[in-house]
Amino acid sequence: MTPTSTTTSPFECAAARRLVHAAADGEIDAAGRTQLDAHLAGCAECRAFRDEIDELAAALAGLDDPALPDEDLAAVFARTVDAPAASARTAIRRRRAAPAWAAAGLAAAALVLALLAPHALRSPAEAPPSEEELARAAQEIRYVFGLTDQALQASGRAAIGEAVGRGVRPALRRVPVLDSPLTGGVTP
Amino acid sequence: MDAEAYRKVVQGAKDRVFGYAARLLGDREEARDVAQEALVRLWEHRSDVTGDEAARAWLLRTAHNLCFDRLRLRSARPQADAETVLPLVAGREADGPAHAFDRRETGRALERVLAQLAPRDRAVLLLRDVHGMSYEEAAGLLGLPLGTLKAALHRARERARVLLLAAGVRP
Repeated sequence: MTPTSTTTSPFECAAARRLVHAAADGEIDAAGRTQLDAHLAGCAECRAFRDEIDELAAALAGLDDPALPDEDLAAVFARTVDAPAASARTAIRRRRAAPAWAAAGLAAAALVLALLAPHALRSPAEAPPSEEELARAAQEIRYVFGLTDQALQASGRAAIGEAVGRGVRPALRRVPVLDSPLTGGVTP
Repeated sequence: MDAEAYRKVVQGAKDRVFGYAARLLGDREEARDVAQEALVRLWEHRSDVTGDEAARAWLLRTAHNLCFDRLRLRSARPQADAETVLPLVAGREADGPAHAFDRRETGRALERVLAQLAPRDRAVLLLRDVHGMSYEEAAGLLGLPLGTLKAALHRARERARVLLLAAGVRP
């Protein structure tokens, strides 16, 4: 900043402002104080800067902390000193609902398993599924995975999609040609 | 640290931890989660923390780390949000109605300004100017060299000063 006094230079102002900060923090020594006072005596802009920084620091120091809600404090004690030792971690209160994408992923996985049930869970003693049944199941599964895949990819949750795929992959082994990224390219 | 000592530390530090997290995250609800998590973790690590002062510093460091974990997950810097930030400010009516009003107005302006700073600058300003940490304590908590901490503090103050003046508020 350009000083208003002809006796100061921008370099002096920059050095003086570092000293202003040190003074605001109570970290200025006697020599620095002398230098600063000498500069401020001849530089109105740095005096104004000093005043504004001092007032800012005072205003920040005067900010009150908001109170943690009582229910949160009670929850903390319930998880710690008031909790049975074994359940201190598992009793953590979940104040937020599960994210929508997680619910969507679980719902999709459940739907896929439901679609697979007649095929994948068939007893070995029973007759194997016909070609027509397998083709229909594969078509249904591709449709469900496609929708879920699009949603997860669009929301940047590809990793979740892969996890869902891993979870249902064992059940898909008997179904031909599943090439969704969710399943990691399961083959029969 | 036994249960009684833990309760005492928590009672004394809970608002500080919550306030730090709320201002750092710019989100009151997230800050509640962070504060609870930090306080619970203190109990889990009670054998590693000796003394009230060390416990308070440990709590702030843990809250800081939890906040930055969340900030890293965000794609954009949190913006000033009147709905979440402004309720942090409270004027002390005991100071007198007019003074309390001035404090609230200045406090609201400061909260908006804090929310506009980069997260690390905001953290430095909060630790040093709001919570009164020394340079060394703040540098240790943030893992910064002393010179870097000072430079960040000065930059944050000057940015806050400019933002306040631009908003027509003299600190």
